[in-house]
Amino acid sequence: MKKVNYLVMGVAFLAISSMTSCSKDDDAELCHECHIALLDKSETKWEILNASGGEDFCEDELRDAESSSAVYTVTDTLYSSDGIPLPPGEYGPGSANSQYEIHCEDDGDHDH
Amino acid sequence: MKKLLFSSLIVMNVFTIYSQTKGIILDDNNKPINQVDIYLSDQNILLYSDGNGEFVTESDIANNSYINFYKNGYSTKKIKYTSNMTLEIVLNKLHVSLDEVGISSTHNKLGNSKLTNIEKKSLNFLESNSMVESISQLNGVDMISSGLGIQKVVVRGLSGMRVVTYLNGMQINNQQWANDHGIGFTDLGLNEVELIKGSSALKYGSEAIGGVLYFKDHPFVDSKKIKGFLSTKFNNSSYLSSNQFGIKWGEKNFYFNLYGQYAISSDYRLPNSWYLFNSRFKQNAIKFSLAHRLKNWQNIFRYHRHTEAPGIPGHIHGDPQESNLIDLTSSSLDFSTDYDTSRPNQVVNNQLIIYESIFLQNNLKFNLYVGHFINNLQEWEKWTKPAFDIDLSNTQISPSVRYNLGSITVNFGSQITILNNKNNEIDRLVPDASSFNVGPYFIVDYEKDDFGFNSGIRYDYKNLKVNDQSEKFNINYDQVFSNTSLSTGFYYKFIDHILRFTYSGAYRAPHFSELFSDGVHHGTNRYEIGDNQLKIEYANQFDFKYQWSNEHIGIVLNPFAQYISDFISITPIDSIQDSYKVYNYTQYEKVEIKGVEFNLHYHPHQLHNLHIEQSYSFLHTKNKDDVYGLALVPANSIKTKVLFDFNKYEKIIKYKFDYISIYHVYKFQQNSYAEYESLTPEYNVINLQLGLKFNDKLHCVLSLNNLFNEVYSPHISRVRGVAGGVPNPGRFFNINLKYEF
Repeated sequence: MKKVNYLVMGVAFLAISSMTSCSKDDDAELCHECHIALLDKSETKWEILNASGGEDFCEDELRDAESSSAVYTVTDTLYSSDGIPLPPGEYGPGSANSQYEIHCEDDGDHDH
Repeated sequence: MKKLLFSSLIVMNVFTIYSQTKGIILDDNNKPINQVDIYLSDQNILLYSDGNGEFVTESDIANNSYINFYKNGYSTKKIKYTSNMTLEIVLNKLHVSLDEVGISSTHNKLGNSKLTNIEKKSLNFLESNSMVESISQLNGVDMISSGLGIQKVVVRGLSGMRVVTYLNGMQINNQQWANDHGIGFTDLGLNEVELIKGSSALKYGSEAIGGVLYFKDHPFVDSKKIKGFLSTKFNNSSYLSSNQFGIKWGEKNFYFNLYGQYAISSDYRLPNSWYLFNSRFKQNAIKFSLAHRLKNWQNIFRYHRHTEAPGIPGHIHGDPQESNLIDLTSSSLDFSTDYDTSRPNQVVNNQLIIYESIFLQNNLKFNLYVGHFINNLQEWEKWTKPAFDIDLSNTQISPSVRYNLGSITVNFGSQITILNNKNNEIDRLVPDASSFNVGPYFIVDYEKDDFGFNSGIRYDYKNLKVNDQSEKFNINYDQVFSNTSLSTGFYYKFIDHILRFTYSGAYRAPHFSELFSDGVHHGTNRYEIGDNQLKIEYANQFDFKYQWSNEHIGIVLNPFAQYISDFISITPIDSIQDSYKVYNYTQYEKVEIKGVEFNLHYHPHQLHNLHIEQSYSFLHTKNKDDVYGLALVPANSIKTKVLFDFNKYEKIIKYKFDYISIYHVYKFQQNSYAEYESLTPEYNVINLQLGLKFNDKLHCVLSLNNLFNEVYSPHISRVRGVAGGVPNPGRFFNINLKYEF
């Protein structure tokens, strides 16, 4: 009987340990894609690239993009998925075009 | 601290005087009954009878404490124990068991069920998709939800601050003012929930004008052998995996319960096979309870930690009605990423610490309850900075006395609550605030033969202070809200007919979120603005209940009417701020909520194993100040459950079948709605369930939910107003397993 009790305690200990252990997310680098958003009746989005030309904004670059003084410079005209153009210029809450915001949250995907 | 606790436990053990109380349980043919639940309700301890019908507890049972006896298929019995009585209990075998209908002598934390309209629901991990979904099977109860991640209870059309939740006696304050803030715990270790609809639960606060939900843990067991379980749940809609374990042990007047849970879910599948993006969630919880009995004195300590990270689905910038379902969904799941936290989401950390001391002496029961609840709620839209991060702590001290004097029982005490709300970020939606509430009450119950009445009064003094000098707010507010609440009622039993009438009058002080909110609330897709001129909300409710039952059929008819003056609500104005539509808190002079609930419970004589339950819930609300109706009023409904129990059919039992059930909900069209809502069409949902019993220890339940893949978005769904109404999950199956040892 004692063996059974120790076994039960062991299972409980392992279960508690696994429930309170840190998740893998804590150590992973925080990287996400961002877009310029015009918040009219239905949000219009233009995908943007990071300083190196990649899609992901990571750590400090992500923090800057999400800050209330963020400015993103568009050098070539961007087009939304509906074909709406965004001419070259500065966009974001810290720019003269502050009605445009920079968002980095994910969306559902209908491609895969 | 640890040494002190350890030494205290040793000292308590040394002074324990061992004595035994024995008893026997027989049926009407004087045959012993095995495995009867013997519940010492004042001590919250459960014993079982053995094969000889005998039971024994290692210490004295206090005089005048209540003992309840339950066994499926037998009448329940409740006795008031006296030391000179012989504990020879006879339970009558029932022709059929009409367990949920009629006045049953069961124990209730919320009061005397004969005198107060109390409903109960057992919480069974195996048979439900979620705890709140299970409660919403009760008549007059619905839920606001967006998938399994965020769910909260609606009682007779009222929710949020008006429905107060208690967990093992502690009031749960977890920013429940918003529809996207869920109930804050799971069914882990919980045995059942008691519900009072309306404001007649004086002992538990005047502010519960919609109702009180009281969740109770499984009782402690008096068993030297460790009892426990392992259980798991899976569904193929959101690919949920939920796992729980529990251990119970009791010896030499020490009792210990330990539970743990880990649940993870991806996005749920809609009827069109798309997945609602970000309806995912993670939950984990651990809780334990420790009790010790020393003669007539019992001490209980509980700790509960619950963490969850639900996604906020249906999130859009701009007008929710203009959005497209395709933008809120995914065509498939990617298991490598779609369990991961996304944005926007919440992170909720709840901690609950409870100490309870009970002393029983002759006709007196003294109870001291001290609880502390800490809620941290973070709402994230950006990855690197929360939109708000709030700590809400709630301390509750409740001394109470129960005194029995023949047919009269007197309850008096006080509830002292200290609440503190503190923002951890500069960005905030509600300000820092604190409140102090003291509420003494006095309740008298009278019960003799077939007549009884109860009457109670409570006075509350609440001091609300809001002092927030942050960048966002500049508030210095100090206001006292005081008032008296009343409840009175009677019951009368005439042969098989039972009549019960209750009147209750209560009030609710405005919450600091209603007074001072100012900011974007991503969970509701709104910019919300409070009104610091809001006044107290008053409610008067009349509740009449008629019950009749015989051996095979039982009915309950429950009409009610509630009149609420200065009703606090939130309404849209023609303004946009920070790209969200602005909603202002406002107050309506007069609101009426009337309705009737009807229950039918039937076992045909030819087929006793067939169990038919049907409930009708009709609710009509009227807002005398507005052409529009009230927000979040659930549609009228008919709920039907047909269950066939295979026990007694040897040929079927050998294939491990336990029962089969079908559950059907019909929701009528909802054409009474608020300005920002729209008409919701009628719908039907059918769920099938098959119970399997491999042996006494291993049970399995297979469910097929939304059998006909109905496309529906309930009127009170959190995402009803988004993209024309985001549907609830399409057809999916569940596999639930539980192993008990």
